[in-house]
Amino acid sequence: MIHDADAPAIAVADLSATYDGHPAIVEVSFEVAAGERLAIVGPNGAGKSTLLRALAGLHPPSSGSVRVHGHAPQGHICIAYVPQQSTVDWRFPVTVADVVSMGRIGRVGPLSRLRADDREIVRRALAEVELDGFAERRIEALSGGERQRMFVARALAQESEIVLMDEPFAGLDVHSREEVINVLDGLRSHDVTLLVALHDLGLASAHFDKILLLKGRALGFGSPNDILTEAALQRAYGSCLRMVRGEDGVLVVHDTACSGGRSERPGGTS
Amino acid sequence: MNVLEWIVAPLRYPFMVRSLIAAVLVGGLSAVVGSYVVLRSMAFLGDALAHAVLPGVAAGYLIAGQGGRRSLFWWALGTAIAVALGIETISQRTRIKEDTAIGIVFAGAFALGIALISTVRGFATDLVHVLFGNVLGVSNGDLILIGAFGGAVLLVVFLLYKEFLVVSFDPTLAVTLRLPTTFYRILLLILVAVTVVVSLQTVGLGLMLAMLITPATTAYLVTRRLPRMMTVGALLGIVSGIVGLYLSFYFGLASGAAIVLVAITLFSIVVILRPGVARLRRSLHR
Repeated sequence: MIHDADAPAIAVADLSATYDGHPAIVEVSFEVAAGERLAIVGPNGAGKSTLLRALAGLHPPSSGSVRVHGHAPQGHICIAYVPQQSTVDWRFPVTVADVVSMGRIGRVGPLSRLRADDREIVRRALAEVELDGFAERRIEALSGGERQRMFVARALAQESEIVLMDEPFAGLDVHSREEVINVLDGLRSHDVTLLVALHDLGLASAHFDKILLLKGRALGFGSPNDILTEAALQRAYGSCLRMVRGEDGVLVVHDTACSGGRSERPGGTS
Repeated sequence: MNVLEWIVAPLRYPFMVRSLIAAVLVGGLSAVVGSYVVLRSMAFLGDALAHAVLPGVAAGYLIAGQGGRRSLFWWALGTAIAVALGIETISQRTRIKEDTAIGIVFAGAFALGIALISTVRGFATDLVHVLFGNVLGVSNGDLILIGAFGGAVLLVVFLLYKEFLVVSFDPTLAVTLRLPTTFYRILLLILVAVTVVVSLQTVGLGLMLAMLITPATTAYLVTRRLPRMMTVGALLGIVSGIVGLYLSFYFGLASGAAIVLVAITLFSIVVILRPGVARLRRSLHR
């Protein structure tokens, strides 16, 4: 599909969607320019996953609209969606190269096999995320960080212009998280628009251009400095959160001495 | 009797040659299609499809009578495809989960089959063969049907390998790639239905599930990629078919049961030996 050059990469207007019959997101509006990086943060059940799935054309909105480069998302194969790890069958008998090759299927078409240039694209994508030595490894043998990098490689093989990732840092240790962050930072050179749902507010402030603070409704949308305020976080999480700003971002801590707080704790390092 | 004589003796009987060809075709086909059944957790569906052909076969028998044996295949095929589509429709268009939909349709169809059979006067041999299999009674015409439909199923599996792989491993990716996922899912159901029907005469509907999942599961335990799983599974299915038939010939066992018991034995051997082999391989690599 030909993109509308003047349209933003993603334009969401008054988007509402239900999950299991209940409203999950309500009248959410925002725009993301091509090449921008948006962190979607909010407490559990805030509608982050539903929003990402609606953007990918996987979840029908009940009202409002999603435009991807000026068109409906269903018409695009330039969107790569990386689901939460818990939804993937890691015991499926496929190798890392098999999974990354799946990104080429939309380009190859039915009844055709991958050609030499497709395999070269897959090889380059694996090298980009530093998984070149893992091509023939079965996916269940990968660590959490390697699994996320494999999906980023698949998005690169898909030649995606928009990558949507649902909690890619969940369950990762510090080292694996850094590896995934480095890979996501590397996507800037491909001018990829990146939307990531995550819990770590420190990461969101340090590595993303904009933040969407979500709790069913959009409680805030803008630059990290504008959005990550104690008052806004209080509204989103309901607990007493204190913010310590540093050179590389913010450290968000839960103030247990504060009265009226709840147990919902976003991650908080930078 | 030496080993060669032991192997050759049954081949002097044309019915045994036909049976062996049928067992090889069905063993290979069931494992290839069964790989998807195992990986997509469709075992219950496979069992349900096998049992749900009963009313179709019974209706065909009542309409065509004893002489219409050939038509039973078409009745079974039509019923299996109709049941597969029925289960898909119920699970997609209602809030009922797929396994519940399968249970309702399967039990209902089986009950209808038993009710129809109960109206048959006398002993319906052909219907008993559908229940328990009778590979020794396979005719040349049966072989042609098994070969034609089995070959068509394998051709579709080969041509749409990457599409079935994506739809099975990551249906979400399939949707974002704009693949017609519903079409591929229904097509896969139909392939399972056809496989069940062409395999019925070999092991019968009671044991059909074992042919679909046992060789494929054994292969899953010893392979790393789907194409290898299909190939090894097909070889195990073929070996099960051949060894089972020989056991049936020499020891007077029911052929379908003997084939399935060999497949289960191979599975058991792999399950028992696999941890030791894995440890040995790791120590050799150190």
